[in-house]
Amino acid sequence: MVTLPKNLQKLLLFSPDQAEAAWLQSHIEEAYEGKYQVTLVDSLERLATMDLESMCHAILLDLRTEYAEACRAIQIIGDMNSAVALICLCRSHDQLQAFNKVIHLVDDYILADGLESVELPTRITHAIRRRKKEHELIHEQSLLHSLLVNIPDAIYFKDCNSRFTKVNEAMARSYGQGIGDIIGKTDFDLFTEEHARLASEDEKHIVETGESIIGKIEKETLSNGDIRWVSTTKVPLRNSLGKILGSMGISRNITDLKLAQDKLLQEQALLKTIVNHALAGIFVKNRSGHYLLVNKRHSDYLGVNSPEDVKGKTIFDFFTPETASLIDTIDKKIMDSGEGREGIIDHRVIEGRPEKWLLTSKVPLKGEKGDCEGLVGISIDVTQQIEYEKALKKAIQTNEETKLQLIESEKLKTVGRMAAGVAHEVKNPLNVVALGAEYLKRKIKEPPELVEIIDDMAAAIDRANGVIFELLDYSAPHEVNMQPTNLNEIIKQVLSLLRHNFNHAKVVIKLELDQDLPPIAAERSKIEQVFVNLFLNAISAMEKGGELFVQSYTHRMASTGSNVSSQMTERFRIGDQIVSVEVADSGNGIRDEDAHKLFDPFFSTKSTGDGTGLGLSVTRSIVEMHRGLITLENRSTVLGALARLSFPIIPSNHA
Amino acid sequence: MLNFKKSPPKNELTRVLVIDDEPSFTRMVKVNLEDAGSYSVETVNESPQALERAINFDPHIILLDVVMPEADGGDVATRLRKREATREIPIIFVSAMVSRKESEAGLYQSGGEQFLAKPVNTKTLVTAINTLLAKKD
Repeated sequence: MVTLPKNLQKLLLFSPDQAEAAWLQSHIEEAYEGKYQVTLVDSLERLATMDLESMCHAILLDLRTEYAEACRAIQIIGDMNSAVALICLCRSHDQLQAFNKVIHLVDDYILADGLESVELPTRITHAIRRRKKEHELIHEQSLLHSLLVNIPDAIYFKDCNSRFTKVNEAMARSYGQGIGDIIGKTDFDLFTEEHARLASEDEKHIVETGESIIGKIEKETLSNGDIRWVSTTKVPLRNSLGKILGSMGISRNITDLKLAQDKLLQEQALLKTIVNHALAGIFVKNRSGHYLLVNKRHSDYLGVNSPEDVKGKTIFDFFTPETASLIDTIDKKIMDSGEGREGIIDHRVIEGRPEKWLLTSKVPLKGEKGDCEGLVGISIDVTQQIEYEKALKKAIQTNEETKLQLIESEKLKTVGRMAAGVAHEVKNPLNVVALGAEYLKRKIKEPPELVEIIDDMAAAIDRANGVIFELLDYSAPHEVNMQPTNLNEIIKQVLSLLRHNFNHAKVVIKLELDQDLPPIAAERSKIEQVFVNLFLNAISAMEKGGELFVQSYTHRMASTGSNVSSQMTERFRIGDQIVSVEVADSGNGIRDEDAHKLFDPFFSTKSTGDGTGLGLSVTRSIVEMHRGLITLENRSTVLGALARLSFPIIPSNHA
Repeated sequence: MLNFKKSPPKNELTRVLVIDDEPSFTRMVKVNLEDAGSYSVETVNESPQALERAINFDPHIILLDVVMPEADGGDVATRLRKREATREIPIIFVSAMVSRKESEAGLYQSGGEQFLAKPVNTKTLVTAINTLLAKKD
């Protein structure tokens, strides 16, 4: 619509008679000065191409001449269906009769006689207004129609008795009926009585109170048994005075949505059942590590009674910062990398609860866009299995130890049997020689050379006897009587016992004994023998004198690092308290080719006659009898051999 | 308790019977004991002859080996104790089947018998014999 100066109305004037048209134009503009602006249109063709609404408020069409052309003009303007009013000029009422076929397209007419009447402006104004209203009405009707036809929701209007007065296509279609089949019927004709009764009660309530029902979810059971779910909004239908004439409603079929929703709820219930009854702890955390969901079992694992006490908290609320950090680090890595982890073993120690071992798997929780929004974890209590495993390992270890002991004991038995046999065989002839030498010694007092020879023989026999007894000791059954024993005391006692040997060999002793050395379980005489053997070996290794270092200390088996021998890890467990004694000499050390046979029975580096080669073998047997370990190696920084003894301390509850 | 024979009069030599399958051993015991003075020693190297020699020699004391090829020391002792004539002669078993610890104690008892451990020397023998013979007085 064009915007006009105040009250100025634009008119288009079409007359087949050009002269008449010019006269009319000047007449109207002059007679009603300032009220009208009249534009002439000279041909129908031109009129047909014009955008009428932007050019004028009304068209004045002169019907007084050229009947056919006037008819065409009315038709063309009417077909444009615009908001512009069509006002015809005619000679008389009778003349108008001739335009019956198209007269419905005309908004008003003016008789030529009345051109100068005061009515003219009134009639034009009324025609324009009427046309405008009508146009708007048509437009709105068409909108409503379009809405009713095109919307897929069911729309219906009912009177006060719940009878359908108007329904849309979608409504009729959804019930497999034509629109005409439904008008005049009620819900009782379409649905089961139960549903119809509820619906009619709702409508009665609306009609009586004027209250609306918005978005009510209804289950519709059709007469044929089909079920559908609808979301219905019903409002009162009022006339222009506000009087309630009935109700109108719109129903959307949400059966698919409802079924999907039901399925979802069902699945949720199923998931909840699984989560709450699984024999595993299940939990979900968000990206910042806050628990979104845990089941009862997992809240138990966290040491609280209810899953509700866990929601919104983090791992730091349940464990020490050290433990929590370890877990949190793993979680972050999983969420950052987007890769899950299986088989994480946790040892959970919570005060007031039995300690637990958990086997946990964690997977990242991916959002719709594939980004990580958190993680989901499942923990299984494997305490029982770990206990079984420990017991099994212990049994295997015991088995291994027993096996080794058996082998060792078999070896000893074999050596022992042999030694005993040899000893008995040798004892008799040796006794003969001994008694013979004794006799000769008494009888022969000179020459001195002979006496000396007899003395040498007697000494040799003594030595041979010593060897025989050593052999028999080695093979004798080992019965140990363990007592809490301080190794420092034994070391000092044996050193004192051998002081002449040390002095003779010019060996200086350096002691570094831990004054707080805890006792070990030992048989004193056996351990004495160990130190006698080690010290005598050290003396033999230092023929030209030297230094003997003896050091005692305690330590804890820390880890299986490179500086811990495999023998240590086999004999002791991590955390065991160990007493160690190191005996180091400044001799020439151990030759590579001898290293592996140092503990073999009958192996000796001493010249024949100086030793049986049983000393270290016996020493090791004694040490092992005390659940200890002996190692022999070269000193790392200087020349010399280092023997290291390690024994478990007596556990404090036994001390 | 064993019922010992009378110990020899002071001017009489103590008769010692040594029973051992090793001739050189019995010979060495003989020369050493006799050299020590107041002993007269007879030796037997074949154990089946032991009883006969004991009856004939009538020793004050018998030194008896344990491990012998024909009849061992145990058998010989049983036979000696069955005969009236030899029943009361004290016996010292001299054996290599004895440990150092046991031998350190000198003469010792086990199961009612007296033992000495090989190797023995003259001093040990003399002490053991005198100790045992002194007990009966």
